[in-house]
Parts: sequence; C-alpha cells; structure tokens
Amino acid sequence: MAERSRSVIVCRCENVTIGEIADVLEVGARTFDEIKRVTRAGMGICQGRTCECVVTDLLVEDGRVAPEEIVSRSVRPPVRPITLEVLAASEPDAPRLPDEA
Amino acid sequence: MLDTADVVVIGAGARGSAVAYYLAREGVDVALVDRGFVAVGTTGATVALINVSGKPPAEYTALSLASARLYPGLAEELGVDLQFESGRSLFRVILDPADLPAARDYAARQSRVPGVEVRVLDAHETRQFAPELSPEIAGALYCPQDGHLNPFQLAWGFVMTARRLGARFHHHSHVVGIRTTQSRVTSVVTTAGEISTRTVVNAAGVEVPSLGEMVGLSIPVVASRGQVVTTEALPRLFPGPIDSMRQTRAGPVLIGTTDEFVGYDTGVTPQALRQNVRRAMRIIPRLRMARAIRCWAGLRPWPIDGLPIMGGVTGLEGYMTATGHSGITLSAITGRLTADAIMGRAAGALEPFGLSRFSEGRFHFPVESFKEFRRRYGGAARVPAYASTGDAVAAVPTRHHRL
Repeated sequence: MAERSRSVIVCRCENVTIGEIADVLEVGARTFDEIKRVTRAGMGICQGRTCECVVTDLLVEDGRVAPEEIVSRSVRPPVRPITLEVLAASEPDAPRLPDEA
Repeated sequence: MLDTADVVVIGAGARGSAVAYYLAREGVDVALVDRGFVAVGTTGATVALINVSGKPPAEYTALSLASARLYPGLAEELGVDLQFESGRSLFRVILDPADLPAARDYAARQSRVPGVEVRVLDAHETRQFAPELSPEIAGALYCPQDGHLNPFQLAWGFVMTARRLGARFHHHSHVVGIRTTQSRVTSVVTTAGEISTRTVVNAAGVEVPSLGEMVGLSIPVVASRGQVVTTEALPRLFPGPIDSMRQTRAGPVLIGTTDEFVGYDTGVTPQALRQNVRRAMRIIPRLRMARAIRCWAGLRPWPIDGLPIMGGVTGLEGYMTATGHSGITLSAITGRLTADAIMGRAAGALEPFGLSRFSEGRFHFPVESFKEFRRRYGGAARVPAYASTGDAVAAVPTRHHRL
C-alpha cells in the first residue's frame, strides 16, 4: 500500500476504507466481488457503481492483477432501486430476467 | 510441488473453512484450496439462517442443534464480528388459521428431540414479537434455538484463524485431479500445482459431485437454486429471521427464498421474486415502500435424501466429504466432527451421514414431511422425480468438471 491514509473511505455507502480493502487484498482477493463479500464495499444502495473504479485501481496497483484480467462486479436487477410494491406488481408474463454467469 | 499437507480441504465456504479451522486448532498441518477466494460459492449467496426447527428427522435436528450451540463461542474464538443472534426467530409465519393444527403437530414432533423447543405462537404472541407484523397473521412457529449470523464473517473468521494457526490458503487454485495409489489418496492436483497429502476433504459445495468423479465416486448432490431480494438498509423492522426473511446488522432485509432444481442456472425469475415479495409484504406491510436494490440467486448443494454427507467412504482411504444443505447452520459441527474423524476420534457421530448410505441402499427420504410442510406454508419445494426412487444414485446427473 502506497503512502496513503488507510482511513480514506472507498465505499461511501458502507463506509469501507482503503485499509480494510488492503487487508483483504493481502490475503489474496483478486476481484471486486471477492473484496465485496468480506468488506461490504459495493453492497450498499449504489451497488458498487461509485467504488468499483477505486477498488479496481487498488487491484491493479503493484501488479496484483493485470488490467486485462480484471473481472467487473456482478450486476443484478433492478437497474435502479424500485419499491417492493412495484416489484410485486410487475407484469405477470414478463420475460425472464437475464442470467448471470 | 505446490505444497505438502496432512490434510487438503477443498472449498473455502462455510463448511470447508470450518474444517480447516478445527483441524488447524488441533495442530494438524492443513492446506485449504479454493477455485476462487473465501465464500465465492453458496456461502456468498445465502440468507444465513441458523435453523434447528426445520430439520426432520431427529438425527438431523440433533446435529443442527449441536452446531447452533457452537456459534455463541465462535465470535470470540475467531475474533470477528459474527453477528450471531438466536432466540428471536419465527421459523414460519402462519397466515391461514386452518394451518394451525398441522403446525402444532409439527411443533410437537420436532420438540421430541432433547434440547429443541418448537412451539406455535398465537396471533397475539406473534405480534408481541415484532410490532411491524401484520394483524392478518394467525400465528407462527417459534424455536428459541433458531437464529442467524453473518455468513461472510463466519467463513472469513474460520479462514483467517486457520491461517494464523499455520494453515495455508491456496486461493484461485482450481482442483483438476485427485491422485490415488492402491485405494489411498496421495495428492491433489490444482491449477497452481500439486499438493501431496494423504487426506482430502471434499467441501466444494455444488461442485462436490465433480470432485467425487475424480476418484470414481458418484455423490448424489444436486444444486438447488434460491432466489433472494435484498432491500436498501432499513430501520430495524423485526428482531430475528421471520420465515426466510432476515434483516442484517447493516440494515438490508433479505427476502428469500426458493428451492428450485434448475441445474446450475443462477438467473432470477420475476415470478419467483414476485411471489416471495408478496408474501413478505403480507407479513410486514411496511415493506411495501422499501426499495429493492438487488435481486439475486445462489446455488445450494442438496443431497437427494436431504441429509448432509460427511465422513469417509469404504474402499478409498483418505477421502472425506463435507457437504449438504444448510451449510451455515451446520458448518461448525461439520468442521468439528470432520476434524475429530480425521484425528481418529468419535467417527461414529458421522455414521448416519456417511456416503456409504447411498451405495448400500440404506438411505431413505426423510424430507417428505419437510417438503409437505414447505408446500403448505409457502416456499415451493420442488424435488426432482428421481430423488424418491430407491435406485436414485445412478440416475443423479453429475456435472462434468470444466478443466
């Protein structure tokens, strides 16, 4: 970790700092989702839209992960938060939502 | 040679990491291997209930209770924020009063296991439990031994503590083969190199069958898909899990779940999400205006008779399995009993859950009563047709491992 304060917040939704992410990188995490599960970075209301680029930067730093091997965060519906009332009332015969690997 | 270890544990989910921890605690030289990192499979996609009440038959309930009793001490042992809580779970909310007698029968049956107390709360008692519950509710099944915890912290705590005790964690190492000589395990081959060992523990979750195939074993485990809706962080709406809903310490409510046998497809379907969300809103009306931020699905390993698969197998020295449904509830006891068996202690405790029950035709299908219960109270449990036949083992589709 460069000369950077460990207390700088990377994920503003869940208040996750550089230091917390650095600790997980140290153990061997290589993707955004692997970091997410341990630290909660990317689990909040924005679902990683804000912090993904910073976390990605930390992943490629020091050659930990090659830029071409970066795996982007897993994206799930909905695109924007919707109320449960709206979700429950959605079209009965709507097509299946896209799969995710 | 990547490593040499007394025991190689495959899978850094709740179960595998628990096995690694309990072995490391005993001073056993252990290597933990995962194709990814900590909690990338089922443990990363669970509602994370500690469930004792919904586990017929009796030996399964007793095993779940023994595991639940280990969690209060684990937060300190592992030094993580495990967020374990029990005593405030409503296992199943009953909306239709006509379902109350069946629920009472179920509670009486489950309470026969020593140490387990399942009872039916009436409408008033249920609402005392959480004021946000709908007045429409007829009652609920309550079991003080049920609870919940943070699954990520659980697996992380096991892995980190095992590491501190000397275990090596080979992450991003995909197992591509298991070598044997004269019916004994000799090494595990991974994409990062070979690990020489005399004991391997297959705790690979839904990938358990493909790792069984590597040594010629047909392990009858299928993947069950669970679809879940996660809401934004909300003020505390209810104290412990209700049905398959859980509000996490961070604030989001997880609304689960389904049991669908659709292979390895982790997609979500509007139909299932809608059904679960509608039931959630009937139980807690205030959820109507809560916003969903993520609709997701995960796969859980489901042995065809519903019971966990643990312990060794006759005819192959040094090969152990540690899998089954309900991995969060059972991780601690699985780790402990598997470590005991490897250390040559109390292997009898694993006997009812041995893989040999399938090849010897000893397995029955005790989940019938459970499924009937699920059908009645929501959560459409669908089980593949072949699972109820005696010669199921040969018919179970195993997935070809991708090399």
